Amino acid sequence: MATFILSKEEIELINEVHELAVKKIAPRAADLDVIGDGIQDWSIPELLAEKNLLAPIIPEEYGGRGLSMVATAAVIEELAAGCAGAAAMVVQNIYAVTPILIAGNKKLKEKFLPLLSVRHPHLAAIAINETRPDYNLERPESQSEEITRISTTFCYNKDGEKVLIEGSKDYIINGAEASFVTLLARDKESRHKSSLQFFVIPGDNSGVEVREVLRKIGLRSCHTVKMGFNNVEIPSDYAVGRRGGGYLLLLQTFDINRTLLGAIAVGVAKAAFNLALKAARNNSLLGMNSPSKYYISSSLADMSTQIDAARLSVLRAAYCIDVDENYARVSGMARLYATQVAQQVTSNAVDIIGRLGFLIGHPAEKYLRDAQMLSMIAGSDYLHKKVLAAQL
Amino acid sequence: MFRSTIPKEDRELVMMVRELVETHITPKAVSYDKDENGSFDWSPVNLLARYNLMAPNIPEEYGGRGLCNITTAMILEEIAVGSAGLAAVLLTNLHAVSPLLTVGTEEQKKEILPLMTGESPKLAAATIIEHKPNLELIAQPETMDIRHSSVNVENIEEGHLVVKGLKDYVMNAGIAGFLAVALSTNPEKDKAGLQIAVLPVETEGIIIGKQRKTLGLRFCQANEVIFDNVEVSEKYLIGKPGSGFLVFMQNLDRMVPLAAALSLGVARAAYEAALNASKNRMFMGKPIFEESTVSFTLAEMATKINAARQSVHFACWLIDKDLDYSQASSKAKIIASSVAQEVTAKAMEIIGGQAYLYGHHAEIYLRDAKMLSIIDGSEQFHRNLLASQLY
Repeated sequence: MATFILSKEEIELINEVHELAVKKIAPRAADLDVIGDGIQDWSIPELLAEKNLLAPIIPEEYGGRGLSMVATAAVIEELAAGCAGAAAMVVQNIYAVTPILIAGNKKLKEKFLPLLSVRHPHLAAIAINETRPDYNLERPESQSEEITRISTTFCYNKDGEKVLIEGSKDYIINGAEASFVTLLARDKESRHKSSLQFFVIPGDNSGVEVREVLRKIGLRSCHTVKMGFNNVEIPSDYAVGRRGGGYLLLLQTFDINRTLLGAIAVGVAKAAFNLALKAARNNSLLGMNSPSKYYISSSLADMSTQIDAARLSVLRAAYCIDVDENYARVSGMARLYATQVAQQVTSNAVDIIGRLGFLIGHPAEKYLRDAQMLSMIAGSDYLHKKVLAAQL
Repeated sequence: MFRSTIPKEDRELVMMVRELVETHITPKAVSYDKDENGSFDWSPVNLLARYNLMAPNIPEEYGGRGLCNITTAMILEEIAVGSAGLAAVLLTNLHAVSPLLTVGTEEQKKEILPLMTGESPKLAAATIIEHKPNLELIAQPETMDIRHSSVNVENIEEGHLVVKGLKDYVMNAGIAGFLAVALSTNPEKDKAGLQIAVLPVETEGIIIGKQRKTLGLRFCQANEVIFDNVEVSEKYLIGKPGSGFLVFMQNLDRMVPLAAALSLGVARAAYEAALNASKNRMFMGKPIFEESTVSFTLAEMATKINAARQSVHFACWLIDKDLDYSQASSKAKIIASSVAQEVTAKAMEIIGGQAYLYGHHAEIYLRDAKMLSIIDGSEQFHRNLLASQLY
C-alpha cells in the first residue's frame, strides 16, 4: 500500500543522507565547483555507492534499495541541500534506468541494473538531445506533429542480430564515464515519431567517443559532455521495449522523473533559505526595532511558505506515481512550481545575506547558479508550460 | 494526495456538494452579491441546512456530521466555487463553534451544539474586531486589538457578570442565534484577562447595530454589535477565566486553513471561468487559448492553485492528526490568499473587458479574493506570526 508517510527505516535513511550531504558532500562540492567541471570526480559517487544511493529506485532483486518515489524524492531533496550536482548525478542515473525498468527484458535488467547497485561506483547516462536536430524547413503551419527531430539513427543488420547506431548527442550529464548510456534513436528509413526506440549502449563499446566537455555555470560538480556514436555496433538484445515504442517510453520516463528535478529544486531552495535565516539571525543591523527586520522576516516567511508548497507539490506528484494515478500533469506542475520557487528563493537569499553572498565561493551564489540551471535541464519552464497548457 | 486519507463516503459527499452547488448555487451567485442593505436571503442557507452542512465538523453525537478537517475544507472549497459569500457564512459559523468544540464542557456542548445542527440550525457569529470611534487625534492602534477587548465586565456578583462594550464588523451578526465574544474580565491583565463566552443573541442587552457595507463577500453581512449591560450567566462562559487569548489563538490556527480553502475555491472558480473564456473568445479568428501568453498564464495559474491546495490540505491533515499545525496553518493562509488574488486578477485580464462590468462573476471573484486575504488575520499578520516562529 503506497503512502505519503515515510516508514521508520526510510526516515532513518533520510537522516543518514542528511548527515552525508552536509558533512561529506557539501565541502567536496564547494571544491569541485571552484575547479569547474573539467574532470569527472569519483569521490561523490564513491560516497553514494557506499550507501547504495546511486539509483535508489532499482528494485531489491537487482541489488538496489527499491525505494518508492516518495522516499526517493526525499533522498534527492536532502542530497540537493548538500550539493545539487550530486543530486543531479543520481537523477541522471535514475533517468537512464527508468526505460530499462519499464520496458527492458530480463536479460537487460540483469546485466545493467546491478552496475548501479554494487559497492564499486558506476554511473549511467541518458542521451536524448541532439547536437544537430533535424529541423523542418517547412513553414511552421505545415510542420507535422508526427515528425521527430531526433537525428541519431539505428539500423538492424540483415539477420536482425546486430544494431548499428550513428549520430551525436549533446548535453549528457555523467556521459564521459558512464558504464552504459541509454540512447534514443530513430529508424534510418523513417522520420516518424513512431520509429523511435531506446537502446542501451555500454560505455566502453567501440565507436563511443566524447566529443567535447561542456563548461556550465550551474551544477558544476556533475560532469557534462557532448558524445559521438560512430557506427556503434551492439547486439539487438540491447534494444529496450518494442520497436517503435520509444516515443511513449520517452514521455513516460520524463513524466516520472520530472518530479525528482522538482525535488532537487526544493533541496536547493531549502539550503538557501536556511543560510538566509542564519544570516538574518546573526545580522546585528537587524535589531529588534529596525524597520528592515520586518521586511526581511516577512520575506523569510514567504520563502518558507513557498518552499513548503513546492515540497508538497513534489510529494503529491511522487505519491501519484507510487499509486499509479494519472501523474503526467501533477509531475509537470511540481517541476514547474519547484524550479520557480528555487529561483526566487535563492535570489532573495542573496539579497538577505548581502554583498558577502555575492562573492565567488560563498554557498549562496552557488545556490543561485544551481537553481538557474534546474529550469534548463530536461525541458525548460516554457516547454513545461506548453505541455501543461495542452492538457488543460 | 491528502485527499486519499478521507473515507469513501466523505468523497462522495464532496461530489454531492459539488453537484448541489452547480445546480442550485452557481446560477444565482450574482444575485447573492447584493450591494444595498436588505433582508437576508435564506434560501441557500436552508438548502445547505437540509443536508446538515452548516457546521459539518460538529461530532455526530451532537447531531452534526462529524467530518474531519480535510473534508470540511473540501466542502467549503466546493461551496466557495459557487459563492464565496455563502461559504463565508459557514466559515464564520464554524469560527464561533470552534471554541465550544475545543474547550467547552460536556454540558455546554450538549446544550448548545444540537441547536446548531439539523435542518433548521441556529447560526453563530464570532465577534472579534473592535472599532472605537476615537475623536482624539492620538493614534490608538491597540483598540483594534483582541488583546484589549473593550467588552468589559462591569461587575461580578453571585456568579453573574454584567458586560458592556462594542464590537464591529461582526460577520453573520444579523442572522446569528449565538455570538461568541472575548470578555475582558480583568482589564489590568491585558492578554491574560480574557475569557470566551458564547451568548444567545436573545440575551437582554445585546443589540445588533447598523449594517456595514463591504466590498467583498457581500452575502455574509457584517453588523455592529452593542453589548449594553448584558448579564452573562456562568453556563455560557467557555474555558477557564484568563484562557481567552490562548483559546482564541488556538481557534485561529484551526480555522485559518478553512479560510484558505475559501480562497482556493474562489481561485478555482476564476481559473475555470478564464479557461472557459479563453476557448470561446476569439482573437484574429482563433480562440485566444492558442496564444501562448494566454495558455501559459493558465498553466501557471493551475500550477499555483495545485501548490496552494496541497498546503491547505497539509495543514488540515496536521490538525486532524493533532500534530503541530500552527506554522502550516499560517503558510496555508498566506499562499492560498496570495494565489487567489493573483489568479482572480489574471482571470479578469483573460476574460477581458466584460469581466470589469458590475455584476460579472469574475469581478465578484476579484473582490471576494481581496476580502479573503484580510479576514481571519491578514496575510501580513500571518507573515509576522510565521516569522516570529522562524527566528
